[in-house]
Amino acid sequence: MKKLQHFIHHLLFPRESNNHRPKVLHHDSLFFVVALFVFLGSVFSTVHNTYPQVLGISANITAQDLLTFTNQKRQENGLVPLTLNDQLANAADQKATHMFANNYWAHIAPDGTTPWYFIKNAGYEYLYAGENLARGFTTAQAVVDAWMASPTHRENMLSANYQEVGFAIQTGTLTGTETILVVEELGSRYAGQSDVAPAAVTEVLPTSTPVPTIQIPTPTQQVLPSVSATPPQPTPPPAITTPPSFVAAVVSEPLFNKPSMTRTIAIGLLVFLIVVLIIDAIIIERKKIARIVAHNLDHILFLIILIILVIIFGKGHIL
Amino acid sequence: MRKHIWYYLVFITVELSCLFAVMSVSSDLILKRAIVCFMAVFYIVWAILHHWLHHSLSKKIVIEYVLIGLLGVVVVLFFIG
Repeated sequence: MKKLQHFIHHLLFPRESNNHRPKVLHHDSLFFVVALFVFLGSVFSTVHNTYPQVLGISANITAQDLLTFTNQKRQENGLVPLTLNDQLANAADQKATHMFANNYWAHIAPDGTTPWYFIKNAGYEYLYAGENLARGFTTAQAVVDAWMASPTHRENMLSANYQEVGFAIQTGTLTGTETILVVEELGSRYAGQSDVAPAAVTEVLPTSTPVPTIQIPTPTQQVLPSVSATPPQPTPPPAITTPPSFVAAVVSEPLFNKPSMTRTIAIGLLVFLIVVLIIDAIIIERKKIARIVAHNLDHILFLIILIILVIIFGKGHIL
Repeated sequence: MRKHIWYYLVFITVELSCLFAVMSVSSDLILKRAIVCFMAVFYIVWAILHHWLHHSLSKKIVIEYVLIGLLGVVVVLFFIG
């Protein structure tokens, strides 16, 4: 017991046995930790790729949950709830597939394909259409909360112009990161397609020729206004074939959740080092011991910034 | 401490700028990795310069900063993949 106590003191506190520098801060210990993390990183990566059911990404996002949480927000704001539309779900599915296939994270693809192409391609003749994107989230509630926290996405979700919605939830590798992608296509149909008698609808249209209004949430809250009297016709990319029904859900419950596990280990180590450095600085200052080492404050600041970095990296993103 | 204030201000400004850069390129893994590596290299160079200007630089100190910088990169890359 005494030996263990001595060993812990030797590891964590400056004293004569460790030349007045905690053993964990010695060069050989730091080198060992670096090597250990390189090894752990490769082991985690191998296990994740080989046995994703053991070490994978835990997630529970379904279209039904997304719809429920979205409609809750709409009803809280006095708006009519949206209904799920298979054509919009088809469009969202095409968009997600196109994003993974072409490796981009944007509303407009590098080849110029806009969201409206997918919506039209799915057979949905829209009067209004909008798109929200999310990646890196693991629950439907987190996705909806993130969209609601962004003014432009919130505007899309709470727009009275939309009556229907379609969701796609897919997993894949996007811009180098394995991620869960959520695509939300919002819309309301052109009067000619609606269930209401066409004559009555024509009367309430603002112009004699229906003009599609398209909205993309951007940081500047830019609304892409009607661009022509007819719906936009982008250069059509290669046709994407999609199945007729869309099961929009990603539900996985691996034994160990890789993101939270790696985050806990990374932040745990960084906090541990900060604590050791602070204790070391206090003891050395009190005892007035002179030694040739790096400044503890430098290390502490750097490690705090790394903790912030890990927290930032762990968050989902919306577009 | 007061004579070091400018060094720390420069360090914090550059590192926080990198954090904002990370947030703005959050979807690109290669850029993320590059920024993390830059942050560590800047930390090592800044710390060595700091000690050199105060005539307290030694081989042991250089190795310590390199190891802490390397540890930071490895730990963050362990998390982001």
